[in-house]
Amino acid sequence: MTNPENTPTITNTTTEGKGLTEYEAKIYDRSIRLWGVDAQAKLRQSKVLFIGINGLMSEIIKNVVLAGVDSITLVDDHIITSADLSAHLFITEDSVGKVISTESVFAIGELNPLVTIDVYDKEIETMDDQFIKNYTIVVMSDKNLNNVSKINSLCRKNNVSFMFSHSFGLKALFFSDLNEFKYFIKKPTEPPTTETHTSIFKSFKESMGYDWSKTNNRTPLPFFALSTLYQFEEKHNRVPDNISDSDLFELKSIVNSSIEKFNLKNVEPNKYFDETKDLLNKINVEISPVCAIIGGIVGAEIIKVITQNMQVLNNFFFYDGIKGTGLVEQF
Amino acid sequence: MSERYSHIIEVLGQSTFDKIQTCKILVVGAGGIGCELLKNLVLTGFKNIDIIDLDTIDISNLNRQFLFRKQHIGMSKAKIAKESVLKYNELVNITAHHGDVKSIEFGSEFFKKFDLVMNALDNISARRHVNRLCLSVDVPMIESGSAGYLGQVSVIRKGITECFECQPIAVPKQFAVCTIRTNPSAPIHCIVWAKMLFGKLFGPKDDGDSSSLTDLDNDIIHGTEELGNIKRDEKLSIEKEKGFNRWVFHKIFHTDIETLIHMPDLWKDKQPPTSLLLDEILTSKQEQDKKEVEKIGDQLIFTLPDQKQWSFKENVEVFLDCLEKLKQQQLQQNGKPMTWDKDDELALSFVCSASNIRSNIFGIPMKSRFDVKSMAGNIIPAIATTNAVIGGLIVIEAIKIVDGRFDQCRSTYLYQLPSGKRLLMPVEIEPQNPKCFVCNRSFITCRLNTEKITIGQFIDQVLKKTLALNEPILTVGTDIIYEGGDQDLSKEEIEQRSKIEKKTLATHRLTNDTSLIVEDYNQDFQVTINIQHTTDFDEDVKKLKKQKQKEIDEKEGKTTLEKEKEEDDKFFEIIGKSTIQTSQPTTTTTTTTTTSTIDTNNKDSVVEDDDDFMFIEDIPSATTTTTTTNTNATESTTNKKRKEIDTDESEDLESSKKLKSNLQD
Repeated sequence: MTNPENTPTITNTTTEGKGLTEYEAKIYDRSIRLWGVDAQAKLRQSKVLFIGINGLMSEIIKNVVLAGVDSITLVDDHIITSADLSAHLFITEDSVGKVISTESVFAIGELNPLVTIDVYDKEIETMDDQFIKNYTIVVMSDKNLNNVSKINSLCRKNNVSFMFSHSFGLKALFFSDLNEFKYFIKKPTEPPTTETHTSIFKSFKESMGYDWSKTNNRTPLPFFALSTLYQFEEKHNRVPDNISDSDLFELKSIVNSSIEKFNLKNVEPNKYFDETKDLLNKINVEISPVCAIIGGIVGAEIIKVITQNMQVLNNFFFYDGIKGTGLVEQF
Repeated sequence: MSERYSHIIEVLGQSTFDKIQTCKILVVGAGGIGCELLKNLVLTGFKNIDIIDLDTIDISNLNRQFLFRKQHIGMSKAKIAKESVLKYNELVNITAHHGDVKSIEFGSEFFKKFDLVMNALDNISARRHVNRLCLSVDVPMIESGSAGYLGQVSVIRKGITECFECQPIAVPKQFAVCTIRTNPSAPIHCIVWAKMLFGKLFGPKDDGDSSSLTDLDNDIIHGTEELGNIKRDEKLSIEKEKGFNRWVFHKIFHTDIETLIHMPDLWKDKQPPTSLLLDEILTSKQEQDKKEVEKIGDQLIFTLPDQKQWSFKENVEVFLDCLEKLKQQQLQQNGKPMTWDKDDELALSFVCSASNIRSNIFGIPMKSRFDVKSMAGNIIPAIATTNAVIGGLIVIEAIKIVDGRFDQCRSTYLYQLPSGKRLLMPVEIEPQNPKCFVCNRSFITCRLNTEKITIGQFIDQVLKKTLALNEPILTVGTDIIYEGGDQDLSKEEIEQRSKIEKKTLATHRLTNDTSLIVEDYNQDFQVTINIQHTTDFDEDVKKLKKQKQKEIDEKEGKTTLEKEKEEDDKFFEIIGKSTIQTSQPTTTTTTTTTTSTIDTNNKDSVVEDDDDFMFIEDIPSATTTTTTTNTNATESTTNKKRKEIDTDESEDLESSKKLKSNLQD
């Protein structure tokens, strides 16, 4: 996939790496052999904010903590129920009734004692520029797409990388907005040079308003469904209720008006509506293998964003556990 | 029942979930993929799980094998994985086995107990072993692998899909003996040599390849007794007096190199090596230390201490020091043979310094300890994120299998960057290869010089390394002519077996057109090999061929490829229809670097049915048994699959074809 804004310019860039201890060199031996010492040094200087500590996020956190970031902050005051145990890595039966963020701290700490863990115990509405600027990247999982858009805007304004990921039963997706993302590819020339590449991202809000007429009637179902849910939430400022007839009726009319607006011929409106309904029905349903798959892919993307030494995915990914496909789309 | 399964039941339905709860699973390997997989299995509701792993926990595992902690270093992976994973769900029955899946206790009787086997292994030889056992007891198997950002998961079911061995398997790269011993041209050649030297000095006495590397007492540089022109290295006996490390240094870096220099044929086209004298090096001035932080352009390149290149003199000092310490270590353990281990600091420093000194002698660039570890230990860097994806994909396939939906099973590839739009690419699994010698018990033919090759070489290189047999039993007609394995043997039986190993094939009834049956009870596996005598692989014939090829090439203006030089050691060829030529012509060139060429074009010479076999008359012969020579098969950690997962490009072509016909978005 070639990206028009992705033309390389060759420069000699200056980066400074802080030293790693001998113990770190041993612990991270295999990953250093893959992504290099400079990348490992960047990881240990990075701070990651996680909003929404569900099962999928526990997978992402595990991967990022093992990779060796400096510190992470958890945001989620949800009270744990038995059903939360389905795909979660940091809680047990004894955790039921407790607050998920604080309850997760101990198990995360065991994964890698070199990483500092904090909990932010206030509402996400209280996050401001000053707060968000502390982080290298913000990763979010939320069924409320208005919240996603809000945090994304805050990150964008402060030039902080942002990722959103959510699973829906056998399906899962992630979105990333890295604003203007630069990455550096080392070339083994004599003397060694570095190629600087830039990828331009869109905000969540902008992507959700995508002009589907450009997709030539090959509009991918899951992304269309997501944007349908988003339009509903933008209007009503809440997540639609999957057992409310009036909500479902309105979702159907959003689907129909989009089909008309973008002149999407040769498609069955029912297929789009069914996909929307399916996502909505599974919006709280997490199963372990799907969380592991999407969590692994998001984890790898976070590491790429921090280390800036490789091309990243721009800007949506969708995994479908029924078909087994994992597609990258740009909207 | 706990509400913890409410999500999985909602997604999969009660009846599938019930099957998950009752199904019995075997997980082979509790490493990178294994840890991820076990966690997913217990969270998904799989309840009856056995884990096998022979390994113990190392510090370099902790960055991805997340069931292990610092305090577990040195303990059994299988046992700790079991303990740790119970935290994720206590409602499961897990049995941990700390052992080798290839050992007798895990034979077909053991495998029969399971409904599904999951491979999370790091070496081809164990994968092939499990493949054969699963086929033999007709248990479905999920195969997986990862390397860096790349990964793959597939399903194997007897009679329905291809098996692990239906397609050619890349045998780990081996180098010609002459390249290693006399004519190295790259750092890896010196590293392989240094590992052999370790085996020679500290390993078991009869360690096949290494034992003949050098003879420490032999001071002859040139000449023969008959001609009366012997030239000796007088200094060797003097150095021997000065201690073990000086003696070894002088022998391998002076005497042996002098011997090579006295073979002018070797140095027609290249610079001869330079032999070293220890005293000269030790009195020379220490070179300037390289700075830890180097500056290239305006860029500061940060390096680890291990990535720093030792100076030549440092290498010599480290080498002498390591020799002394290793010798001491062995004495303290009553002379017990040691095996080389990349994670043993002293053993690694030994190989690093020895290979660098040798590199220097041959004008080859030296390498840092960090790089030597990668190369000597065949390290394929593994990371948590890839393993997490693979561990998830395995469970997705497992769910289809317990549900009996084999038609929906797929091979899935994880790419580093999207291929088209696909980062995860499912492809339909190939049907079984009718010519496969494993799942279809098809005959194979082995061409070699039966008058020169010994039974020992045949067993080691052909049966064990190429055909992945573990403890082969060889039968001609109704007579057992050789029995591998470690059963309780008398001293006499062991001696008799080693005698047979030294005989040539022809003197032990394996002549042209013999039909040899090879069995392995451990794998519950049998293959019939038609032996064909040929002189094609004799040195002089090969030389002649090469020369002719060179002449043709020169006429056509082609240069001989470096790769071709390295396959001199090939002494046999397997022709098996197990190995249908795939569409990419490049496969042939890649396989030529291995010891054996799995020929895929020569279909005419393949035996099609029993009538083509001529059984030799039964000659009474003593049934003999011997100890298994340690082949060190687990040493190579390459986890290339038949289709190598790092050959993205060719794969894309192939799988996108399939995708067009089978899958739609």
